[in-house]
Amino acid sequence: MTKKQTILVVEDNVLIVKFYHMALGRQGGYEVYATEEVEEILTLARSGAIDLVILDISLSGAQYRGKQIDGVQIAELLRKDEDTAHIPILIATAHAMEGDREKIISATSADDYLEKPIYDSKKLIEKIEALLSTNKGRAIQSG
Amino acid sequence: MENFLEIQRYINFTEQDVAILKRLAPIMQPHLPKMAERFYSEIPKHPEAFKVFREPEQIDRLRRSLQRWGTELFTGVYDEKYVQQRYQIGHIHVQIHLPQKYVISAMALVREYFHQVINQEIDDAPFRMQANISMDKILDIDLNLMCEAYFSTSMQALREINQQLEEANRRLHEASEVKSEFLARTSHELRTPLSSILGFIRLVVDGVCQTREEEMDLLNDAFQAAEHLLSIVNDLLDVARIEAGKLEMQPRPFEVRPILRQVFALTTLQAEQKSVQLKDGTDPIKLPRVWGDPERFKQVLINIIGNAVKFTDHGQVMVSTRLDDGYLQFEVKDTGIGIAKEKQAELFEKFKQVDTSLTRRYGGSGLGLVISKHLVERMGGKIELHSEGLGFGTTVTFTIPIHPKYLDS
Ligand code: HEM
Repeated sequence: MTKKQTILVVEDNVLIVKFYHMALGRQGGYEVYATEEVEEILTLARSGAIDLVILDISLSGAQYRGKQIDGVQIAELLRKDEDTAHIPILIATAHAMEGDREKIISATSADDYLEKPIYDSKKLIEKIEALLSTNKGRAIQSG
Repeated sequence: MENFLEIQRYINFTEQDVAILKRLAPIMQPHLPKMAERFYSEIPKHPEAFKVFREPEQIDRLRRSLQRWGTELFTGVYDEKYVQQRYQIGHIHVQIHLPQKYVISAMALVREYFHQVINQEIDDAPFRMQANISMDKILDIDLNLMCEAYFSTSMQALREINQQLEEANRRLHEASEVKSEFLARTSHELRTPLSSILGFIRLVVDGVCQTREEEMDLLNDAFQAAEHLLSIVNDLLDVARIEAGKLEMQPRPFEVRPILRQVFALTTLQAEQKSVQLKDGTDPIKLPRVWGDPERFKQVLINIIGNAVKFTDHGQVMVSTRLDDGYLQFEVKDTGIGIAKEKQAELFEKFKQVDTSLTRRYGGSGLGLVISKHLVERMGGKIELHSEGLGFGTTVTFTIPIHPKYLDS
């Protein structure tokens, strides 16, 4: 078997982080790592250790250069850097008003978007599998 | 006046008319007192007249004014001053709220009388015809100028109404924006705990847990999230009731001590979990009976003390009381994160919330202060918040009236 794929979870609600650990770690068999520390997110992503990012939009503890930032800005940082631009981003947010999806997808150029409540772990895993396999395709093409 | 030239052109008022009107002057002059006489014997019969004619001397004065008005029709000088003055006469009628139609019908009366005079005084047929035509033209001009005053007043009123409407519209728009933002935020705040509740129950149902302890742990988390959701829903319902003016109060005299004890029991647990000291600095012996709704009072205490504990990571929360001129004042002082001065006013505003990342980090609907303010004020007290800014802690004080019987003794 190949190495476990690693999912980075950027989420400020401890209960939801716990859900991802159980659903993706235990049930999905992925390596799950959760943090809101922006520098850490960027370092991990650059090191090539991250296969996919699950990104919340409203964050309470994400500081970058002394400023509070949100998921949209984190996505921008990841996309800007050519070492991390290819990592699939799955937005997972409780913003679910008319137009939020379009606005956020276009602002983050995310690969997919899920609205909370997110609780169907099987569907979540399917979605992640789909993103990981298209990304592999992309990586092979470009490499 | 540009408009005057236009009226002249429209009515085809020429030099010839000016000459004829000048020639008419000596013929008409002797008849003007009679014209004014007739005018003011007819006009007060108008149904609206009683509203505008107040004193009997007024009619005498108006007779003279109308004669002067008649004389000026034949001076042969129809310049800027003439126009202004005619416009001014129109304006006076606007100001006394005389409907325009009465001016028009009064003008018909004058016209008829003048034609009578001309027909009776002038034998030369061509001149008589010319005189009638020119007379009609100058009266048309006068009527136009008087009506112009009505028109411009309506325009002015319309402009003002428009401005008011625009202003009202802007305010409505703002209010509706604040409400949609509130709705978006509420939807967000409800979805977050819902995600945990559904997620954990689903994990247990799917048999993901390996031990019974693990199952219990996840269910306990789901329960906590559900309680959080319930508190948000309760706050929302309270705000909706406040908005609709339907929040019920059952005021009566009650003892503060037992309620304080209950609230301390609840919040001490919360404080101990994060190693914050909750200190009871209230007078242990004599707290007076107060007047209000005890359940609502308890809600305020839970909110304020709960907030203080929530927003304090180290240090203490001190609750104290003092008597204040017929009121019992509570002070809840914490060493927590504090709040920037410029944001303090917004805290008590419905549908505005300073920083949603705070509620996300610390939980709650963010409506506690809005509700508390309403409850305290409904019970006749006052609530205030002081903070020297971020990092300097927060002090909230609120009052509740002391039961009058206690004050007498
Ligand atoms: C052809 C129509 C009319 C003409 C030419 C006319 C002319 C005048 C004039 C020259 C004045 C004096 C303005 C001044 O003080 O400088 C005046 C005032 C007045 N007019 Fe007329 N008027 C007309 C129709 C009417 C009618 C129909 C009414 C009432 C039903 C009326 C009621 C009054 C009143 C009450 C004032 C006095 C306003 C005040 O000073 O308190 N007028 N009018």
